[in-house]
Amino acid sequence: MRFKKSSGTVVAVAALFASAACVSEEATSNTSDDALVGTGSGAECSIDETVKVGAVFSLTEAAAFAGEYQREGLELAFEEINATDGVSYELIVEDDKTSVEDSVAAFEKLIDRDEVSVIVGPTLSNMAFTTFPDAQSAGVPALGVSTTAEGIPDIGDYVFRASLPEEGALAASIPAAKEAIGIEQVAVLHDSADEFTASAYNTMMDVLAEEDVEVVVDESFATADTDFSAQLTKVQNADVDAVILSALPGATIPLVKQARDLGIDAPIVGGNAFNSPVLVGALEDASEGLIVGGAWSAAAETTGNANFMAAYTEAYDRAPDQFAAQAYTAGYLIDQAVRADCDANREAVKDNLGQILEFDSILGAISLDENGEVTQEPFVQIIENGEFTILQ
Amino acid sequence: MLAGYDTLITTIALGAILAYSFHVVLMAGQLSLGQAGFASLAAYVSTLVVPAEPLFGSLSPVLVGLPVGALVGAGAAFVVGLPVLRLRGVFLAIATIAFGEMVRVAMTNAEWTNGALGVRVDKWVTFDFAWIIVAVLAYLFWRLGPSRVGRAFAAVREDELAAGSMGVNVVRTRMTSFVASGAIAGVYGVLFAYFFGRITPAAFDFSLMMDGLVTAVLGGYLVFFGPVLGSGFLTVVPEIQSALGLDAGWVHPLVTSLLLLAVILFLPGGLSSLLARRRPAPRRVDPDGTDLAGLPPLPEPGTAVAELRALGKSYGAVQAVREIDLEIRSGEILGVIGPNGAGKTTLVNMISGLEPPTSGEGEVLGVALGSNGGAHRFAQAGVSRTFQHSKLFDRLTVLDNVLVGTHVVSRPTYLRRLLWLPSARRDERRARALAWAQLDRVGLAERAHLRPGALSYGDQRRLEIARALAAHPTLLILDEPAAGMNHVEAAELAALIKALADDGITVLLIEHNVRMVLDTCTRLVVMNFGEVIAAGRPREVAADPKVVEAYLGATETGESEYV
Amino acid sequence: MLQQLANGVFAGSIYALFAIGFTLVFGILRHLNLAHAAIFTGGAFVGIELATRFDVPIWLLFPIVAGAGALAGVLLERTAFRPLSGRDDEHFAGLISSVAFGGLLIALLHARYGTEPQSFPSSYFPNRLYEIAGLRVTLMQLVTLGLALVLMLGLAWLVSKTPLGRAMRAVAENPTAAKVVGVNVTRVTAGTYALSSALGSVAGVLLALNLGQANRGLGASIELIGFAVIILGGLGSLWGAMAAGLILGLAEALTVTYFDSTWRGMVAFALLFAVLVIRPKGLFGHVKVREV
Repeated sequence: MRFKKSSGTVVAVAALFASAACVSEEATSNTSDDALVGTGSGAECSIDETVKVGAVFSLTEAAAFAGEYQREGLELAFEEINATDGVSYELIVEDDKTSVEDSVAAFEKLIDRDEVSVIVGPTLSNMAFTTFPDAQSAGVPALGVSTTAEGIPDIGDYVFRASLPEEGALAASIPAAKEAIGIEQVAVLHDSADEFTASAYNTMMDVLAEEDVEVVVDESFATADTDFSAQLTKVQNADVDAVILSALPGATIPLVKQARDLGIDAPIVGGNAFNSPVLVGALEDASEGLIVGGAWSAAAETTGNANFMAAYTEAYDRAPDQFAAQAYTAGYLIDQAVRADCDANREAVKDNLGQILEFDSILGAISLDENGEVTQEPFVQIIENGEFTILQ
Repeated sequence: MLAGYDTLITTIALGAILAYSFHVVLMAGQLSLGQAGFASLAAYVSTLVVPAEPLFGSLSPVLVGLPVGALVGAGAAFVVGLPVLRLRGVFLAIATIAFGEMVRVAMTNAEWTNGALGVRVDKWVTFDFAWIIVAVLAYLFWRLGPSRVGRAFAAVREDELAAGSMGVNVVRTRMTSFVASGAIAGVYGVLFAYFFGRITPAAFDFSLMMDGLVTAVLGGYLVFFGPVLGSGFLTVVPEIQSALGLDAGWVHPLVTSLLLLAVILFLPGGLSSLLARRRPAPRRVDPDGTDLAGLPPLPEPGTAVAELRALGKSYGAVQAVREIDLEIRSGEILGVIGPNGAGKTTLVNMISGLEPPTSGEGEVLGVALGSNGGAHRFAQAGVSRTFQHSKLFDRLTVLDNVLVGTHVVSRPTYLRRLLWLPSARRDERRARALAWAQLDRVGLAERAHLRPGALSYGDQRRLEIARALAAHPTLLILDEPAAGMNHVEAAELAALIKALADDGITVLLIEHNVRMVLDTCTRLVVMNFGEVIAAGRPREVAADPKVVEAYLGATETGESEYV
Repeated sequence: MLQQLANGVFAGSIYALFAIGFTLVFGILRHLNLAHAAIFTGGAFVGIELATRFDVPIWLLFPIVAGAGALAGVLLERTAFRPLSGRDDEHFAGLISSVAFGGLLIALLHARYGTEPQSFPSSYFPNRLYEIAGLRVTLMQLVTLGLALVLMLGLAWLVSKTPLGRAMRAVAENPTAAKVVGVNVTRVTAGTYALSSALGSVAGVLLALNLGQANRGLGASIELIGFAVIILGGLGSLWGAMAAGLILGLAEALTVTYFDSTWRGMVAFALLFAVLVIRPKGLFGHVKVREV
């Protein structure tokens, strides 16, 4: 009796198992919603329905240093856009707690529950590699604003980024530094445990090879390290013209400080991660002479940059950084894409994001292509007297 | 299923699977924290073998990854376990943490793993797939609880020495739990890889390990569904919190920490102890003829049970036992008396296989003293014992304590229980019948559902005897069983010991209650300073002037008992 | 080469500073206090707050932080360890409850200071570089090493010469026996935690001074190294912890010099693993007779 009942259970379990083990073909059902289609186009476009825009940023835990700026930058952009006529946006921001799980869950919520037209974020490339495929298979355009790692746009045609890839930033800053200070021999230091910095390292080595710069010291460290003296001693003994650094802000600050304390006064060249006023604030004098390649510069005279800096500082009581500036730009790019056909459906936003050409933004003229890659002119800056200055 | 909640639901399943890999070691009392390393190895290896296309057109390719991941995890656990399982407690914890970190660094530096950039794979794992794995694990653990190996896990967790003395192979049990943990962690690693579609070495770090441990502890490791409960709870709390509008980044860690603190302080069994219903008093199982008939016969009276020749034991410069020659014959009640520090407990520890001798030789029921294998081999040969300071399994009921005693006279039931084979039910029923018979014998049948802590001191000693008897011993060693008993209880105990001897059990009795020893024993050995100073018929030995002197000297030194 | 050895010694002195408080509790009470890293981090934040907001001079900073650390230690013992004493699973439960206490502390730091790292004013500690016989050392490194030695000597004196120290050793040997001979075990336990946490928080300030800043992950970054140090040094051996800290620092520096810096992260754990497997009592520990 008992045995029979249990064998029934076994059969049921087996059946369930078989069904779960099967792969179901997921059909992307992209129903177009007419309410999201408006009249007119461009500046005259008017859509009755509020357009929902999702955003996933790391507002807490490890990457909160970036996520907070991004949220503020994006919110500022949509406040400004909503003040104009025609299209109004509702911004739904989710915190991924700098964790992959929460990031995937946040994407799912925005896609399935909130049914947003487009998603901005996530903050880290690490999460983007696992969330963007979901956006792709659901047919929701996703626009990264700080996902600089190699290979992100290749995930699919719904994936875009308005964040200068690291190779772009470095491809500009290394030659600029070479020209400005004449580097021939360099030391390369990188965080080998973090994927962003590891990816940047690969780019650096390529660019240095292209530029015929000799790498005489090539050392690495781990994200949480606090003591770099052993690596720095090697740098010091090698007599280099510059140090090329690929590190997250957490390690950059102590590393640069220790280098300066030990008397290494060679210029230090870095990529996107350097582009933060926090860095200057924390390092004070030690930050002098850092050369930074980035997507945005406080010193740049691009369209609206001065207004952006003023409005941001007034709203949030601190100066914006590159993360804020890129997120801010993303707001305008989305508005541009929606207004192009005056259609806020996912397909339309996707099609039009891929056709943004030479959009005049605070990052300068910016273009997105169909593959989702961004094209813009990087800014190379040097820190002088505690200020980012464009390196000419 | 629930649109928009797939990830949440799958995250609960993944958290539960990770927690099960901690559950299985905690069940056996091992604080092993290398699961992140096993998961990492398994996840990376699985990316090498899992095909890119569905199997036979429609089967999930992860079906290939799961067994590979489990094997990699189990294999790694076995290899790591060989050296580190000699360690215990926090030393084991730290050694396994070190292993996990070594894996992480190795994966970061290896070429085939693509270093910190990680590996991308297709997302094959769906929420129903993950939950099926959880269901399978829950089933495995549900069936494990009341099986022979499940009781062995619990016994090793509660007291390794007592478990070994009851015939549980402690080393193998610890290794089993360690390897099972590795296998489950391996499955977790594979599911993680193919759910998120991406792995990096940093995904399997110290904090992942902490998450798994916290989930397992919060859910509770004494009940089979603890991990599911813990994972569900930890996943739902932040959802509730954000529904309440508490979005500040510090609220979530604060709430989780407070919860964890509250659970560990006030609910040591975890959240599942709230849901585990109060068990009714266990149903009594009376032995029928076949239960006892299956037990091997005891040796004929007069057969040699143990022979010791010039046996000695020293701890560094301290010679605890020296030059003992002793023969124990079947059917006798051999009393060993002597002042504190005379070496009595050291002697029985050697006879029961807990400590190897440092000189001389001996054989107990065919097992040579000091041979490899430890106490369980002596128990399997028919030696069973109680301890001077009771070593009961505190978190098991009285009945379950005695059931552990049946370990050496019952067959493994776990695999058959998984298949619901009737023979497993018969074997479990027989074990329970044997246990009840012993509870009856010592008069504890009414207290079968209590925990040892709820028993009086005298009852605890009786319980230990019942547990030892459940092993159907040839040689029963009682180390001061009457200590703390009043003389009514002691008299009952003396009667019980005599009855046991009448049944053919050989008894070795260490006791301070001289009157009881004189009344019950058939032969008496007196020890002092590690040596036998007198041996023979109880009354004659008691009259020996050397014995009187040793005893008078001893009573002045006080009551505390250390060997 | 010599420079690298010096680097190793300076890095090692930070490890040792973290570990002596850790090993004190481990050696005397057999508790693995996983809240030590959080108290270490807390010490750093309190130190920065005092220096930036109240302009507390550096000579006064260490005693105040030590006092705050001691207070946190007493609180830790009260909430996370004392309620568990006498329970069967005391040691295991203590490990978990200390994780919870540590998490609580970090969450509170998060609430108070937000997510951005906190920095000392750059002029707070003079940045001087000395060249001694070809070695380049900073004043900060010298102060760190000096303070580590002073704290070690002080602690060694305290444990061997004072009544509290004698009571601690008695508790370490056998808590029950200590109680029998009249040692107030409760007070000694609280005292051990106070002392350990005071040392931990001072170590936190020192590391923050070295880095110029502190974030919430400061303690976590050194915690795993701390495990390695207490095991290498041997159970509860203070001098062992000091020596093991320096050995680890040196081994790491030498790895960077002669091998590849990517393997530096492996050194501590490989050493730890090897020692646990070959000589579980640690390099400097002594044998304890197991009692049945």
